[in-house]
Amino acid sequence: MTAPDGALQGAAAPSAAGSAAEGRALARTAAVAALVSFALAVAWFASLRNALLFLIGAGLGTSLVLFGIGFAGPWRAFKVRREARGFVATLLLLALATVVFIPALEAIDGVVSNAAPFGVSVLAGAFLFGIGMQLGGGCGSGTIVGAGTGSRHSLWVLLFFLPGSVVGTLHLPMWLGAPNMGQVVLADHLPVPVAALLQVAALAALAFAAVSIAKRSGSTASWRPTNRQVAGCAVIVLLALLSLYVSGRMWSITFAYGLWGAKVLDMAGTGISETVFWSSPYPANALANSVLADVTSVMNFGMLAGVAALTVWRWRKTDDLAPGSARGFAAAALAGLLMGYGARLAFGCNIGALFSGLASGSMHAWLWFAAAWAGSHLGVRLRPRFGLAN
Amino acid sequence: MSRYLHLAVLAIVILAFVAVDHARSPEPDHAALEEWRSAGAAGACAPCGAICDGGGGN
Repeated sequence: MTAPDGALQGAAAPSAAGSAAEGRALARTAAVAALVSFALAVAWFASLRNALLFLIGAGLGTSLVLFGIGFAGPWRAFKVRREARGFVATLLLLALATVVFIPALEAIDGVVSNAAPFGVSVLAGAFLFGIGMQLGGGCGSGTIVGAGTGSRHSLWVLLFFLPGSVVGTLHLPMWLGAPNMGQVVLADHLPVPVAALLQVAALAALAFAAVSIAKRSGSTASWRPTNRQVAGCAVIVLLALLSLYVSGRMWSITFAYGLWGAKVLDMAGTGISETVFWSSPYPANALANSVLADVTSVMNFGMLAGVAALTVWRWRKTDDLAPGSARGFAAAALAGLLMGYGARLAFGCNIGALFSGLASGSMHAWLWFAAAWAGSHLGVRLRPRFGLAN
Repeated sequence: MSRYLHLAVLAIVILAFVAVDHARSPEPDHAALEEWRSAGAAGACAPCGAICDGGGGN
C-alpha cells in the first residue's frame, strides 16, 4: 500500500525538524562537554586554581559577547558615524574598573598592578596597535572573541599575532632604552580615593566631550549605554576582580601570544630562550614550564572556549561573514603583526595596558589610550584599501 | 568553510599545541600552582611584557 504524496511530505517535515533539533541538542551537549573537559584537564595537569581561572576567562569572553562590550567596533562607530553609545560604554567600563581596582590593589595582599613606564615605547606601540585593531576588526580581547565565533578574519589575525609578539619581545629591550619617565602611578602620589575620583572625572570629561561631538555632528543615535551594556560592565569588572583575587595579577591577554610564539620557536630549537627578554626570570619561567601553568594562557584558552561554546550553543546556520579575499587576508596578517608588535612595546593591549593599566592608576594607560586612538584613526582610513567596510 | 569547521580546526590546533608543550615541559609544581595570589607574593611583576628593574616580566 502506497501513502499519498501529501502524507509523505507531512511526515518528512516533522522528521527533518526533529533531526535538526536533535543535531542542535547534540552540538550543545558537545560544546558544554568540551568546555568542562578542558577545565578538568587544566585541573588535572596544572591545578584547580588554574581551572578556576580558565572558567573565569570563559566568563569574561562570553560576557563580552552577551553584553555587547568591545573596543575596536565602538571606536570605529564613533570615528565614522559619530555614534557615541559603544564608546561611552567602554569609558563606563574603565571608570568602574578604576573605582573598584585602585582601592582593591591597596587592600588585597599579594597582588601586583599593571603599572608600566610612561614613555616612547608606549607611544609607538599603542599607535601601531591602534592601526592593527581597526584592520583586524578587534583588539586583544576582540580577536579572541572573533576567533571564538569562528571568524576566519580573526583566526588569521590571531595566527599573525604570534610572530608580531615574538619580534616585539626581541625588540623590547631596545625600546626600553628610549626616553621614558618610569612608572607614574596616581595612587603613589595621591590618597587612593582622590586618585580614583580624579581618574573617573577625566573619563567622565572624555565621555562628555564624545557626546558633545556626536550631538554637534547631527547624530541622532542615543549615546546612553543600554542596560545590558551597563550590566556587562559590572559583570566584567567583577570577573576581572575575581581573577586578580585568585591569581594575584591583573587581567591581561597579549603576553600569552608572545609566549605561544616563543614556545613554537623553542620547539624548533631556535635558541629563543637565550634572548634578553626570554632569559629574564618571569618570561624564562613561563617559557620553560607548561603552558597550562601560565595564568594568561589559561585565561585566554578559557575565553576562546567560552565564546566557542556560546557560538555552538546558538547554532546559527551562517557561514563565515568575513570576506575571503587576498586583501582581507593581507589586512588580517598586517593587523596581527602590528598588534602583536605594538602590544609588547606598549606593555599590553586594550585589556592589559588600557583596562588593567587604568585600573592600576598608571599614567602609561592614558598615553596608550591617546596613541591607540590616533593609530585607530589611521586604521579606519586604511580599511577600505583592504576591502573592509567602515 | 563554515564557522563551525573553523572552530573545529582551532580546537585541534590548540589541543595539539598544549599537548606537545605540556609533554616537553617539566612536571608542574602542582602545590605551587594551587596557591592563590602567588605571583604577588613572589614579588613578580604583572605579565604585560616589560622587563622590570629586577629582571622580571612586567
